[in-house]
Amino acid sequence: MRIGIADYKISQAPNNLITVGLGSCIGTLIYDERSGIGGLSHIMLPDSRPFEKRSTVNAAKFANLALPKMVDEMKRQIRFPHFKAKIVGGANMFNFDNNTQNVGARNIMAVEETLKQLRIPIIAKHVGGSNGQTMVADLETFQVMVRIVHQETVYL
Amino acid sequence: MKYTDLQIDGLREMINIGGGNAATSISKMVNEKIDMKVPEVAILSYQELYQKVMADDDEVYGVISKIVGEYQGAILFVVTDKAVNQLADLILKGTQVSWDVKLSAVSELSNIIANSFLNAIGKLLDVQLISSLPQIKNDFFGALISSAYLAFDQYDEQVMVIRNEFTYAEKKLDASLFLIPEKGVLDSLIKSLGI
Repeated sequence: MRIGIADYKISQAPNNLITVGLGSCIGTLIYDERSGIGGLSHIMLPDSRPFEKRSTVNAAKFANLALPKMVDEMKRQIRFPHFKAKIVGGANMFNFDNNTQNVGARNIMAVEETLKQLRIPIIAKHVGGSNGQTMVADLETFQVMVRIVHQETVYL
Repeated sequence: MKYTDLQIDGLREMINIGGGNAATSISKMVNEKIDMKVPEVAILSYQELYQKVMADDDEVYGVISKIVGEYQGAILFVVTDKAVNQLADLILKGTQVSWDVKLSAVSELSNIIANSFLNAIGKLLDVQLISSLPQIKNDFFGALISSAYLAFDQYDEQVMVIRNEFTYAEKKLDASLFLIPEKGVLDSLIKSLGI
C-alpha cells in the first residue's frame, strides 16, 4: 500500500506500507503489535498554525495535525492499543546557507514533540542527513526497511 | 494559486527565451545543434508531477544551483544515468573517461545552462540574476523535487512546474531543467512582465 506526499494510510498485517522519496519530509510509522495494525504518515511541514487562515487545510500534511488524527482513527480500530513509532526522513537535501533552520530539522523536532504529547515512544529512527529515503514497513514484523540511493539498506 | 491563461502564457514565453538561450549555449559548447521543446508551465499536484514527468522513486542525478540576485530560488537540472552518458559523449566527443569525470562534465554543463537561462530572463526583466556553484546529488526524484520546493517556502501540495526539455538530433535527452522560484517570486515576475 503506497502513501503519497501529504497523506497517511492505516492497514493491517500482512500488508506493507510504503512511502517513497522522503527528502525533508518525514515518514512516521505508528503501530500496535497485538492487533497487527499500523499507520504510515508522510508529512511535509511541521506546523499548520501559519496556514490557519486558509479555507481548506489538509491535516495529513502537517506533523501537528496528521499524527493525532491518524492515531485517533487507529484507536477506533483497536481495543487496548499500545502504540510505538518509527520515524524516517527530515533530511537537509541541499546545503543552502539560508538563515532560517531547514525544513527537515524543523520536521524532526515537530514529529518528536507531537509523538511525545501523544505518549507514543519512538522505538527507532533514521532521520537527518542529506539523502532521500524510501521507507517500507512490514506490518507482520513491524520491521522498517530504509532504502537510500547508492548506500546499504538500513533496517529499523 | 491562481493565474490567468494570459499570465501563464507570458511566463511560458519568458521561460522559452531563457531555455532557448540555454540551448544555444550548450550547442556552442558541444558544437552540435541542441534544441529545446516548448517549455511546460503548469500547476500540478505532486501526484500529477510524478505521473506525468517522472516517478518519485526514479533514481536520478540532480544538479541544483541557487539563484543569487533580485529574485531568489533555484535551478534544478535533472538527468537520468542515460542522459549523463549522452551529455558526456556530446561534451567529451567519445573520449573514454570515468563516471566521476562524466558527472563533473554534466555539472559544469548545468552551471552554463543555469547561467545562460538566468542571463536571458534577467535581461528581459532588467535585473541581474546569477546562480551559485551547483551541487550534484544522486537521489530519488521525489526527494529532490519536493525538498527543493520546500526549501524555497513553496508549501502547497500543488506546485507551478516550470520545465524545459532538451533534444539532440531529434532524440530526447532525458534532461529537464526546473525553475524553482521562492514563494512570491512568480507574482513579481508576472508583474515585471506587465500582465
